[in-house]
Amino acid sequence: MCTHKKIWLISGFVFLLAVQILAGEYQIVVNASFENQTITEKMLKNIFLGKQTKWGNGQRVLPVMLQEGEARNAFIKNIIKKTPIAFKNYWNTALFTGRGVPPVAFENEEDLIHYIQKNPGAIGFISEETSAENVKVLQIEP
Amino acid sequence: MKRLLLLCMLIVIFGCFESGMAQLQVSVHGFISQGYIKSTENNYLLDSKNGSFEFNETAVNFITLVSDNMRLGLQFLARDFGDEGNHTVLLDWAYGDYNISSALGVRMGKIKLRRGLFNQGRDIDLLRTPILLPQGVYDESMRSFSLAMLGISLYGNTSLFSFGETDYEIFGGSLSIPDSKSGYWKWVLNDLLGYSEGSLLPEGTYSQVLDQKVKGEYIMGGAIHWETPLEGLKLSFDKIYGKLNMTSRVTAAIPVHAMDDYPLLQIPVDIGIDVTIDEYDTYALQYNFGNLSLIGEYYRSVYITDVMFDATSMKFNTKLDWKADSYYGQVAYRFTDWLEAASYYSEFYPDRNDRNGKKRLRKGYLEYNYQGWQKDLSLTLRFDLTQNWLLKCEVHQIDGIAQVRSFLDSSSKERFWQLFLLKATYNF
Repeated sequence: MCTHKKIWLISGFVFLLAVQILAGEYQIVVNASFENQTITEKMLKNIFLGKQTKWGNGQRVLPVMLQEGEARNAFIKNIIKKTPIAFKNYWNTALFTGRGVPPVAFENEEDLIHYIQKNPGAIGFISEETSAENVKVLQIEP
Repeated sequence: MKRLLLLCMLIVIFGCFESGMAQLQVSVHGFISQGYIKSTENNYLLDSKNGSFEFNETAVNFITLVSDNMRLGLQFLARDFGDEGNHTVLLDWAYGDYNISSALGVRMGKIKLRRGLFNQGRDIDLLRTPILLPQGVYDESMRSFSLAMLGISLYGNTSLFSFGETDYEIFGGSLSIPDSKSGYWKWVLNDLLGYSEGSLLPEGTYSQVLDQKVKGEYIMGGAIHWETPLEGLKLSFDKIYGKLNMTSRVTAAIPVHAMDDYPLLQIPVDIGIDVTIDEYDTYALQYNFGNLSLIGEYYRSVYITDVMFDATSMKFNTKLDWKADSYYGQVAYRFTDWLEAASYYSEFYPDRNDRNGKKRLRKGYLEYNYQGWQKDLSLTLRFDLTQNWLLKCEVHQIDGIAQVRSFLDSSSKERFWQLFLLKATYNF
């Protein structure tokens, strides 16, 4: 194998590793009463863009997020497929034309988890290292 | 319809008072923008040659969910833009939104009109990078009445599986014209009264406007937005039909040449114009790749105007077609969280069958052939200073004066000119 090919292979491996690390920076959490164990990326994206407002059982979806931090940035990049600025502009457009209200944003994970514990339709994300007590962690399906 | 709007307001305001103790939670947001505009030649949109700060907007909105399916909201907006607005507080939008499912929802009230990529958010400077959107597609002088309608819309979103997904909307109602005596309508009447070539009254005839009303009879249309399977690529198309009616009563002072010593003869003139929007189509493409954004839009319109002219002893009726089009391409790049740059090039032709203006010049409708186009190259720097504060600066190099209104400055008609803009916005 020539040197160029090796460099490309190593670069590709490093890139994939970086993607995995980024993808692992958050965990999706829902109220403990939530029936399923998994959620698709597409459903997550639609929920956080306000396009899906109800769960399969007709219950209202209550998306919540963090105001800032690595988990937030990684979630917006990997799931919403936007930059944080583009995500903010998307919701500002909805807000100032009356077409929607952005997900409630919490300053810290404790408040976010507390909100999800109290609200059956709530869904949010926290950083991977945070302990998800009394809430359910969902696996993401591609 | 007014009762519906009033009801919307009452429910939302009631919601504000109740929010502390009941289920209703009211989201309150707003912004204030202040701009400055200066042109090297040609008064453009307002008194721009001298530089003007009459370029601002203030808005506050209230949105609440009254049930799992029903959302109510309204926004008050005050703006000043030359002789338009003058800080009068208007209901910008106010409607109830009943969401049956993600595939179908209904909105009723005063609704933002979906057209192109930016029409709905044109009042809100923070939603875009340029201060002045490409004027051929988003004419600033028509802003007060072309952004929202009173009526109903059906909307939804559906997956196309491996072909991406689509948003769609159909709507019908009428345009609300808050001010029929300034801005665009002032320009229309002035053109008819003799401030430009090809007018109804003899050139130089002094006319006094006694009354002017503009009524939106109906407007309807639809929009479709396709998020393609290629990540970041979006295509959209919308189509609008409508009808407006303008009635004016003026007095015209006609010189009686045979008797020069006599005072000018004052005659009343009634002018009625039915404007049928026969075509109003916008095609858009947007591609986002990381911090890079590429946008292209093409717009074309056909207005059929039926003019009725009634002066004491002279009556006539004439029909005119206006076939305009415009397009632009924009590239924007975000360098950091606080700095973004954008540049667009746009072309506008008020008569797409006479792009070089020569036909109308020969007929005497134009004074210069470069009134037949407006080509604009812009550069904007956007500084997001904090989460709430925003500052923009912008420069335009313009060729042509198709959108320079002669009543603002009939003496200056330079072909090549520059425009400078600054704007600061605070939002919460």
